[in-house]
Amino acid sequence: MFVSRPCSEPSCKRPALSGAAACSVHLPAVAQYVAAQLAGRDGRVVLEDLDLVGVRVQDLDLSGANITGCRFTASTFSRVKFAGCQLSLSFLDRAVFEECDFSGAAILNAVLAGSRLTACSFEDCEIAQVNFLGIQADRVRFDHSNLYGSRFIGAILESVSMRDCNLTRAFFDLPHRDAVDFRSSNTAEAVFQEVPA
Amino acid sequence: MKFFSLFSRLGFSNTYLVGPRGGGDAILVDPGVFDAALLQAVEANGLYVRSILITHAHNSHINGIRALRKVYDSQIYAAQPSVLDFPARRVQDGDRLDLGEFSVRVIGTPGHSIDSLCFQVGNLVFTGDSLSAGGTGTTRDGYARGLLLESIRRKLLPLGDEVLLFPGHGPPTKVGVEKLYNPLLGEKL
Repeated sequence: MFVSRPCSEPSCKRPALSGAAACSVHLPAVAQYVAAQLAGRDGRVVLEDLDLVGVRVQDLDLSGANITGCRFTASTFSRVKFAGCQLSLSFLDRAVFEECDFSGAAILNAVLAGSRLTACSFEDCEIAQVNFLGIQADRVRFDHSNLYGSRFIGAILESVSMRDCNLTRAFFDLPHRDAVDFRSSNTAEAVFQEVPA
Repeated sequence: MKFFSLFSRLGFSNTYLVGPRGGGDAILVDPGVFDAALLQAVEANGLYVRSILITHAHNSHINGIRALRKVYDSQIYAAQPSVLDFPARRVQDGDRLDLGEFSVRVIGTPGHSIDSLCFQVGNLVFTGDSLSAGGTGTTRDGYARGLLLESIRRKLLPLGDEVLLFPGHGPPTKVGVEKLYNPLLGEKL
């Protein structure tokens, strides 16, 4: 699991980026630093226990990456490919995802709460026990995915497709259920508007 | 720190394994089941389950103890003097435990059961059935409900927004996330 360390800049309350002394605001050449942190070795990307709060990542291919124990809170991902990646025990809360492709990914025990997702694909994914509390999703597709035990309490979903999904023990507290396409999904196994115990 | 989350279909509960990065004595939280996946996580990382922390003694959180104790000589820490007839060291709110390289803080959060506990290890808090992502534990009556909400508000929410919460059921979360999105925490007592 990532370890949080304070930024070296006096009076700054942000955490330093992993392996650096300063945070995403105070580190010089932060884009190059983040790119180096996310680079693969021997053709494989393994991101373990990284603390990269508030970073900006765009036009990057992380397909097949193994990401575990990381924190990307309040980060922005634009046109990033996470296709087929393994993402577990990681915190991507209050993040922004624009045109990101997670298709075929396995996302387990992760937190995306409070994030804003626009035009993203989570099709054909294993999404088990993922925290989507309070997300704002617009034009996001979860089709043919297993959403077992994931929670969408307080989520705002617009033009979201969840066709042919496994919704067993998934929790929804949606003010606008009509905006979600649940065709061919087992909605009877999901829990709607009942807060979990 | 090496950290693993394992899911049990028996009771749909989470078990957590915390160990030193280089191997050694590990802590297991709420062993609802002890199966091949858990054994693999322990052995492949050079760990030994020296301590077992029990948030509350409901079956879905303790059923793995019998098998576990056949493999590892572990000390159980719980609110009760015994768990499934195995002796346990009793702990209560405010206790601090030094378990290998980890310091564990015991936080009493009665309500779901009268003796429910949470355990804090660094920036991680294992909340059992007291607090989950967007929810809280079930309670027997209004008095227990009041106790639970009071203990969550007084002991868990002040820990800091970036503190990571690992519940007995469902996905992980953070204190800050629960403050913003958990609809039950706004309930009046």
